[in-house]
Amino acid sequence: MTIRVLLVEDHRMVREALCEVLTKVPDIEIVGEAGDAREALKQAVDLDPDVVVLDIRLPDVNGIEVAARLRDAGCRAKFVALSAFADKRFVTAMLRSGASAYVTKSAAGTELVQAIRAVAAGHGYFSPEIAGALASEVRDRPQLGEAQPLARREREVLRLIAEGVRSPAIAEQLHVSVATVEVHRRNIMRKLGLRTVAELTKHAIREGIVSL
Amino acid sequence: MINDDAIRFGEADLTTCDREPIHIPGSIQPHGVLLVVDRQTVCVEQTAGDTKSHVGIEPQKIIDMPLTAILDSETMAFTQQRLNVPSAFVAPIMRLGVRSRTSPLLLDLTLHAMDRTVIIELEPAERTLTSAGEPIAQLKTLLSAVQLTASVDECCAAAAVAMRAATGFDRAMVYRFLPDGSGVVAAEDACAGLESFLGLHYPASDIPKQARELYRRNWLRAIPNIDYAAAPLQPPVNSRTRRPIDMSHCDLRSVSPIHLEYLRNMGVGASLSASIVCRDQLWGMLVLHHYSPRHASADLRVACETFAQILSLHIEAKEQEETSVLRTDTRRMRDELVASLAGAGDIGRVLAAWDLLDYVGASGAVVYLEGDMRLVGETPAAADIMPLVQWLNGINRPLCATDHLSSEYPPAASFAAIASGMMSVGLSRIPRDYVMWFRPEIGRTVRWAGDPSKPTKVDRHGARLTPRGSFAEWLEVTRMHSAPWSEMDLEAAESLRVVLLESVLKNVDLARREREIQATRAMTEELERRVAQRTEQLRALAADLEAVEERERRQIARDLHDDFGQTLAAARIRLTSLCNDERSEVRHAANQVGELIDRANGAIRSLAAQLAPDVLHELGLSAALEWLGEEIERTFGLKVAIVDDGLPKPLAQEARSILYRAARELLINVAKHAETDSATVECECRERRIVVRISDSGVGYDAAAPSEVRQRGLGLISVRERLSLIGGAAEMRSVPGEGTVATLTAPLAADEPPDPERRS
Repeated sequence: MTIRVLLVEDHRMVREALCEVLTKVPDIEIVGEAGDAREALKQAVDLDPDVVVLDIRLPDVNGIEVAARLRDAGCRAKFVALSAFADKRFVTAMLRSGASAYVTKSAAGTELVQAIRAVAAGHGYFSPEIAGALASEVRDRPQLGEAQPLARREREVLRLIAEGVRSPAIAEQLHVSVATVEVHRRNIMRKLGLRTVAELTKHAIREGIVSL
Repeated sequence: MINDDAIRFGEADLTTCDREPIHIPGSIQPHGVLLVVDRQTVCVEQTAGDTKSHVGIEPQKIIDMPLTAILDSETMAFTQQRLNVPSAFVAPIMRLGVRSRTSPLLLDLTLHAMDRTVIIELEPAERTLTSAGEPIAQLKTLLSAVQLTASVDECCAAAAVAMRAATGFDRAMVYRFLPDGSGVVAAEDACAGLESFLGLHYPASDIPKQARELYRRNWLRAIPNIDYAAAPLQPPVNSRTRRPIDMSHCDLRSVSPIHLEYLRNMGVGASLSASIVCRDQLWGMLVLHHYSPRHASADLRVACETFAQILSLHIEAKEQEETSVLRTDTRRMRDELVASLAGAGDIGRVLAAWDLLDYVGASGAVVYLEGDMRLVGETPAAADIMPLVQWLNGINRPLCATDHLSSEYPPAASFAAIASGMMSVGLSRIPRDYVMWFRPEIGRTVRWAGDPSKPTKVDRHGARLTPRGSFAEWLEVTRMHSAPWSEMDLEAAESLRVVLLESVLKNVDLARREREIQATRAMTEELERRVAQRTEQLRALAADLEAVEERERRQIARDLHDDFGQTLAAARIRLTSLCNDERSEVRHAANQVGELIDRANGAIRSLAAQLAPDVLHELGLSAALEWLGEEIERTFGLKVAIVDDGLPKPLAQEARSILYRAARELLINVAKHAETDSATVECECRERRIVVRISDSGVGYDAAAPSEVRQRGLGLISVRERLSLIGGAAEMRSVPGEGTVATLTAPLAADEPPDPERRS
């Protein structure tokens, strides 16, 4: 059973090089090639590939966005991010958008086949360089329970939430939309590692953000 | 001594009357007798008048008679006493009610002496016991009349009234001499029905110079009967001195036939006049006219003379008072002027509105200031003023006054009627500014003495010897003359000059200062305008440069990344098959090339990231700031905490780059200068603006210290400049010892293409 692959790469030379590598592999079939996001989105829907090899840098919309849109559109394909960027922010952004693998271009010759096979099999795959970046991201990230600093506006929102003010009233007070308040609430909870309003209130009191 | 060509008394006509020797008439009026006595021998040398009826001796017999034979012993004793003084001149002294040895007639005696010549005048004493002392009472009345007066004019008026009342004459006048020798009737009291002479002017020739000189020395003249027959001195020439007798001090002195004719022509029958002498100058005369013969007794004459002397003192005092009042007035006027000049820019306007004419008694004035001419009152035409100004520039006198302008400046003849007299003060250096005053031709202002419509009476001297006739002559003399400018006028003008000079100087000073201020202001404005222009140009240039630079950076980064990097990537991928080649030497070589490619790739990516971080371009500002924080920590060891509100921050590519670079620069500043190991970058959305706050708790700096500003402020200036390109702002606050907060704000993009950050 061959793995049907859609190759999204705007750089012709790279695409050709990758094709050459992949066509030598019997269990991988390149069903389509795309040079930009628009083509990628169209082919992904038309061809229903098993794996989409997605370059982050594309001329119109970047790969992160493409992955997110395909995922949102109910695409079942697995994504292998392919990029010259090895920065952890790209890796996490790509992972959040639904990618299962991340391969640097310089390592693509040897690793792309493995990555495609891994994601097709339901696993993840990361180039050693990427794995290192991810490790540092995890290492540097605040420990669970160790709160990330809140922005000023976030502290204001937290105070109001703790005081029992409802989102529409907060939005009105701060001259922002209700949606923005909701974003703040989510971000605050994420930053503090909390799940309920009760926990938020407790935290606010403990931190002296509100008084009883 | 009389020269051959000298005019003899009584022989002068109108052309020579000012040279007629009126002090040596050689005759007397016949209402008394005159005896010339040798002071040494005390014998009579000459006589005049009716000695027979006065002292009972025939004139021929009285010659060589010792005086003791004529006067009674008491009178003789008085006379001797008077003459036995060491001085050569014995002033006239009067003794009333004396008697001669040779006649029962009561006489009034007057005597005076010059060197050896003694002159004794005798008149019948017209006095009864009841009238005795009357003149003294009259004198008292006369004096009290003038004592209470407030001004010279009032004083004169009172004197005229009192004199006529005291003497019983038909007309009493105070005749006042003007500086040019002419005169005016300043006060008058006349009996009803007589034509008034008040205010009439008489030319100087009417009272010749030598007469005025005589009047200054001799206080009183009396002509009881105009139609008297002169009684000559016998013998006519003094045998001892061989000289004519000087009768300057004689009451009986015969007057000039011309004068008699003049009086006769006016219809006068008798006259009495007393001198008013102020400051040793003949100020004027008290003149009494009667239209029939009238004799004033000696005691009355003494009273009149005394009155005239006291009146003189009164007038002198009052004139001084008036002068000082006038001075005060002019000073007050000047003070008012100075007050209105203060702060007034336009001196000319202020001057023209002021009492310029009253100030010196002029009928017209011109203010000529900085080429600006203002005419006040009656003046020559503006076209005539300009050449006059040039003439004044030529003569270059700060103060110029003339009552006969046409004699110095002939073109003035054309406007002599309104400006015969001119006084001017110069207010600046050549070419001067001037204030000029004008007075009209005098003939136009003076009322004629005598009715011009009356036919003139022709007599021995023709028609001229009448007030009317002499006036025509005088008119000729005063043609193109104005009333003269007095000392007071000159003084007032000079004072005004000084005052105005100060004002003009002050104004010039103010104007110059104002001009300087204006110039400076204009220069400053121009400078500011240029600076603003340049700043705008620079800003535009900076914006262009920034944009170009940023574009260039991205372009280079893209080129590196997309072309070079991708080509390398392609090469690397293709090399992979060789790396797996069966031949070990091929594998080895391929791996070596692969390593080289990887190194080149790493270098390219690092370089591209420095130029335009991929994170900024692909992931947005928040991610880029995070990445930047890590870079700064890696490079400088400064720990940077990033606090983001997690809201989407749509920003145009350019705005993103500028904010990113500003933050980078500020963080590097913190790392280099703040002496701290941590900093915080806050990134939030506020009111459709993005706010990036970079703060530290380092040493801070004193924004007021120039060196600090140089060190850190310049960075801020360029940051601020760059932010202004995207409608943003930068603000920096620092407290020494407490740290620094830099706040960058910029508007969020409303309709920008979706920012990747929306997905974060």
